Amino acid sequence: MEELKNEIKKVIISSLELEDVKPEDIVDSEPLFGEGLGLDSIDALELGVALKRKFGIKFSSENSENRKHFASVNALAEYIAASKENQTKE
Amino acid sequence: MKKALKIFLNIVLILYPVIVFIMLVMLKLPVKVLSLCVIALAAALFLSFSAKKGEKNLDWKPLATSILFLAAGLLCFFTNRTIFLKLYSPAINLSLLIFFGSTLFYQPNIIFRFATLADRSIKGSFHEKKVENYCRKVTVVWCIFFILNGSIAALTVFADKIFGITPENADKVWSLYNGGISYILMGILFAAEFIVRKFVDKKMVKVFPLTKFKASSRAKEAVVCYDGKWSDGVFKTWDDFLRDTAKMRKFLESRDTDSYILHCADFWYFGVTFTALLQCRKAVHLTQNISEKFLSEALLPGMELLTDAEVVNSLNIPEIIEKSADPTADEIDTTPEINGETTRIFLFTSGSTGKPKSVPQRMKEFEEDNAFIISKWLDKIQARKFVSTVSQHHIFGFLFGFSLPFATGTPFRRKRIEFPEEFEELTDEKYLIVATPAFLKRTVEIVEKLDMRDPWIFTSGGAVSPELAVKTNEVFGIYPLEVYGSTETSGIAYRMQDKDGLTWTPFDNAKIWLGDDGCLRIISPYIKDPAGFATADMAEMLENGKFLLKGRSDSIVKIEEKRISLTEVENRLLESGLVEDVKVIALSNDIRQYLAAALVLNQKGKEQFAGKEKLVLNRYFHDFLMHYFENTVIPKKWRFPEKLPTDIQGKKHKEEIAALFEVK
Repeated sequence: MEELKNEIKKVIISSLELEDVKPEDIVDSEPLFGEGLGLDSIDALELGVALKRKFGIKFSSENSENRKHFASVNALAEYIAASKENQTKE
Repeated sequence: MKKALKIFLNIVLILYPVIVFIMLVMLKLPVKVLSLCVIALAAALFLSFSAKKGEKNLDWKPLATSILFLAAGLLCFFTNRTIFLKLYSPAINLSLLIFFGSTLFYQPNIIFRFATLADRSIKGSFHEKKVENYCRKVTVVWCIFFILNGSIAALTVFADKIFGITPENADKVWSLYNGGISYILMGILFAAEFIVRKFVDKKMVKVFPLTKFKASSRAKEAVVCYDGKWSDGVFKTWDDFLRDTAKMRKFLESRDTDSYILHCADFWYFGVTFTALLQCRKAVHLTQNISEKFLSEALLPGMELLTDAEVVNSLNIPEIIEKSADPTADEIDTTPEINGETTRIFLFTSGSTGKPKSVPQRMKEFEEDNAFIISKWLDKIQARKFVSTVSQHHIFGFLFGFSLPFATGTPFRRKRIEFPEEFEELTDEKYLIVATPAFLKRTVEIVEKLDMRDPWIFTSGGAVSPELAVKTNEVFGIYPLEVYGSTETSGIAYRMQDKDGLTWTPFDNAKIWLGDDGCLRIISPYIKDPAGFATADMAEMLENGKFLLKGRSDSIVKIEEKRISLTEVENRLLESGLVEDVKVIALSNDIRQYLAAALVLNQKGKEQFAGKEKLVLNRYFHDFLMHYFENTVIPKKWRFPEKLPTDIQGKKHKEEIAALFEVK
């Protein structure tokens, strides 16, 4: 799980061209949007694309669902882990 | 015939006390006869002054006089007493007092009315206000005179009762005073005022703009320009000015060139050459930039470069002037007229395309711009000596650093102040500083407190932040007078933050209103288009015709359909209290458009973030802006340089700021 979180952080930084931010600067439970890392809705789209490419996951068309998944690195990691499990089951 | 009668009557009126005395005391005519004479005089006066046919507006003064005489004559005739005849002189003094005194309240005052009738050049001139103030004082003096003279005249009327002398002697005293002494006193007052006026006139430095001056406009020894600081006593005088312009004219006339580029760092040589060029009706292109690349593009065929810098193939101004033969007295006194409407002046602008672009200007508009400043602050200006930190090749530097001091006859410094430390030397005199907000900013950063004597500051070319205004006051001891304007519109409004806060007051000769886009529209002497000039400055109009600036509309960018004013973001960042200077720009990468902010921390900011990682700062300001803006428009990239890159005018160009964000 820790490794996954680290991977996610790297994707966030590289895909959004975040400056001055190292993976260890991103706190797992910290909100990604608004305060904290300060990402915005355009970043969300971009991040979605990058995560899809990297982990082969899909995000729901349901906005509120996505919001939940994008809340923090923790939330993202859980969602990605869960999706992967589903994929392997199928 | 009519005229002769009028003159005769006026003489009778002036000599009235003497005539009364002769008839009464010397010829011993009965009072009744005398009173009949007075009644006849009243009738003659009335007839002579009211005889003009077809004139509806009857002159009330002779009418009043004749009524006064008629009343006095009738009263005397029926009472058989001379006192009413004698009351004439205090009555005249009283009516003159009322007449003169009333004009102190119903402006303009009577002496000023006389003065403007006698000298038509006063009206509309720059020294009109000064003349009016002087005339006001003279009017007051005359009022005091009428009070004193009238009182003494009244005393003499009752001389027999008050001093216990015989009626005959009393008549003598009365006529001696009113027919002689009072006139002598009046004459003395006239003469004294005339002498005082000559002195005041000589002391008053009149306004002679470039298009109006003549060789006789100023005293030969009047100082035009000084070197170093004022007390060093290294001067260039009016005589030097006439000589050097004569030399330069001779040089220009010896050449076929019609169009010149002028770059001259020395204000003296600049002024001399510029004046001579206009006198010779040449086209003048002013440029601050004399780099080889620029000149290769700006110097078109047939043009020549006049400069005091070391440039190959240029005409060296100091050399031309030093090597010319001394002009003749006739050449010195000849000052070819400069027509403000036909002057060909071009100012180079730093166009965004990189190609040199020059904008045509005329002396007429320059001087109209100066005229408002002069009408408002002539006293402040003439009480000081000019120092400029702004290049005279740009409009603000030209208008305030050369044209304004020249027109007002105020000495200006030969060399531009380039380093704030130079102010520390200027403690010997009262100086007037011409500076951009950027220069003030650099100064207050370096210097803690200047020991200058009652300075005055004109600033333009960008707004002064409230923090800088306060700082400037701490360092210089005065708030800067800010002039709002641009190359296209020239000056249009002013403010001084200790008095006006952030409110701008429009110049009298500028008309402003708000366009549909919320931006200011302006008609000024510079703008001939009746639709006005559309600025990119957003504003809020206040009820009293004043206005507040709300940032530039061209600073508005759209990010994901959200409109955001860069100026607004900048202002919010300044409000954090940790930032001293800021520039926000819009950048984009292949993914998106975003904002980037370059901040210069102030002392407090530096202390607060000492030793902190940059990410901490990024987040601090990001979270601070979260209170005001949506996340989308909050800057994504941050830079915290020691200083923001500016050009010589103090302007921050987007390109240079953007360079800060280039990934190394």
